[in-house]
Amino acid sequence: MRVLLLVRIHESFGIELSIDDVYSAGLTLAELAQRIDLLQLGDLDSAEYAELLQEIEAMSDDEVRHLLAEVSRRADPPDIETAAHSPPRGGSTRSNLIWLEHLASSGHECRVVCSGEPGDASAGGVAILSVKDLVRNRCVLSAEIRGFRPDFVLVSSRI
Amino acid sequence: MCFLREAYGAAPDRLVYLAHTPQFLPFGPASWNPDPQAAAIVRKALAVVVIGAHMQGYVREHLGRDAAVISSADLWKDTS
Repeated sequence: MRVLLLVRIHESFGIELSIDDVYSAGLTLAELAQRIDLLQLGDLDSAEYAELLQEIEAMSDDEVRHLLAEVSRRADPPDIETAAHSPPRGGSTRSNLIWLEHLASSGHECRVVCSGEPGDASAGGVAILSVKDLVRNRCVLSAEIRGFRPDFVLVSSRI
Repeated sequence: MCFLREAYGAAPDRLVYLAHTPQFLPFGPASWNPDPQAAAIVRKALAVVVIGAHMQGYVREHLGRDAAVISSADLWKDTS
């Protein structure tokens, strides 16, 4: 029965669970669904997963429908260079990037300063500066603000 | 909250706070890390932006200020 479950999960979701996953004592359907979600979402950790669920739960049915329709339509995303914002990780970062891309498309010059492998990248007209260990090097953030002199400084609750 | 403080130090009059997940906010019963000083910064921010009416109500109830709702799902639709 459990082997059949593993086969069905693989067929339905394209992921492989180990036999230990389904032999875990007390594994509930909700926990199994969470494991499948986490494997499908890739690098998300449990905190980011919880965050993503919160954001989805905060959306109206129409917002969720719009999002699902767009995800389906954008099944082949553009190549984006390496940075914590590209590709974005977690629902908050995705929302932030959507907001910034919208501002950029309206003619605003937008710049992201985030943690990641050092370097410059861009996504949707938004310049992204990745700084290694930004928490320790957060003086870079204030230096960028003073140098770039933005009209607005957007700070995400994720950080 | 260190980036919030850093940004506030560099641009105290231009800060816009993007409030996503209640657990990551410095205020409210769902916060994993309540921080009255950080909450005071958010309260003074030029604007607070949320993605839906639920979070708008949460900010109103637990921070005591208005938040603007900007649905990223709608923006995604508009810009695609």
